[in-house]
Amino acid sequence: MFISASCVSVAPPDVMARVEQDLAGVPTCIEMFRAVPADCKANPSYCLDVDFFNKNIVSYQEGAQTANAVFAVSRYEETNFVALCNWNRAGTLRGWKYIESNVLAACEKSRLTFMSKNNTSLKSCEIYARGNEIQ
Amino acid sequence: MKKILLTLLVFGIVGCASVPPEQQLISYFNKQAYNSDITSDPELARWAAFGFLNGIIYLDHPNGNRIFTNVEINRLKGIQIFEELNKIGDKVSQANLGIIYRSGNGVDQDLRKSIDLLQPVKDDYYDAAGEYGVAIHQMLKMNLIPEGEKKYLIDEMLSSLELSAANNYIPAHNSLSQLYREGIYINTDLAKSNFHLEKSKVLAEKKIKLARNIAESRMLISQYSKTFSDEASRFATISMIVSFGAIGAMSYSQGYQQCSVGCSPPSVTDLLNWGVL
Repeated sequence: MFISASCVSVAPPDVMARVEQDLAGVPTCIEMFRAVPADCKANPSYCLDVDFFNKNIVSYQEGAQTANAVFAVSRYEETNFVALCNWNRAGTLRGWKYIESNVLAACEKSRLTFMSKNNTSLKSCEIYARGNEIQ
Repeated sequence: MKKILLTLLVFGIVGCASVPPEQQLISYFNKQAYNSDITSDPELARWAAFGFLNGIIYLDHPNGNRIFTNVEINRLKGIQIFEELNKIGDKVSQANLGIIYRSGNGVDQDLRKSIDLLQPVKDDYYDAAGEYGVAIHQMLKMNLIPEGEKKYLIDEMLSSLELSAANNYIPAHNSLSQLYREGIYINTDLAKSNFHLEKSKVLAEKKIKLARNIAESRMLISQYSKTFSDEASRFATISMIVSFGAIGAMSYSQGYQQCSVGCSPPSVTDLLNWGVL
């Protein structure tokens, strides 16, 4: 944990500027994308525990810079603004298909819950970024 | 070696117990819905009744997600539960029975019975108010209302439909549009008729789109979950082969000790930290 945490830097400013513009209206998603290991203690909800038995908490930037990380979003059908987001990471050996299907399934579950609870239509989930590369 | 055996045992138990939530929900529904004492918990009984009527159920999972699944449609059973709940004074069930008898969904349509059921609850639920108004409108069109009751029921119909339409209930908008266009029970007002017709169209389109998106989302969840599971199995097969090699190597290593981080050979935690797993 210490080794990888020490290697993680903040997200590139141009990427964050784009994220802040695209995800405006969902501050939690912006903070999730921005989070580095140091943020996990203060805001555990921005981070994920990828190893249940050994409590290995990772932030999106750690996943993006040290492994394969995917950030997915779902948009309002009427306005095209982002309504919700999900992310996860996996080791490079697992390949992109593994982590993308995992994140998209989780995002669709959130989308289904949102639509059902709010009676508001959302577009199907899409990959917003692979690591720090916005699609 | 002990640790490896223990881990395998834990994974075996967890693996066997991890039935998909949708499957767990079906088992829960089947267990609860056919319980003869179900009406002792009206909320649960209503949930089961809606499941029997619509063929779809959902439950909010502790992780925050809403889990949906299909169940067998059994309208008679659903109506029977609502009837039992109505007998013990459950207002929601009374309103739902009124709606069922108005639409004739699963029963023979009985507008008089529908009006009698909906009248006491029309001020509590806007959909009950709308259905009450629609039922009166239908009875008026079929000339089923005695002259002496007409004036009172027309007033009731209009106030109920207006209340329900204000809450975006589509059948109430449709009924009002017809009433203002026909000009039989109220003065003709084409502007108002068109307003309600347009409103009804917009709301119906929105509702259809939402239903379509919900169906699409459920389909995508199973599609992505299948891809994920296939990829995980593929990786697990490769990992197992590698693990056998690693276990073999470790069993020959004299210096092997219990280690979680910074191990040689690297532990699972090390591999996770390095972004390999």
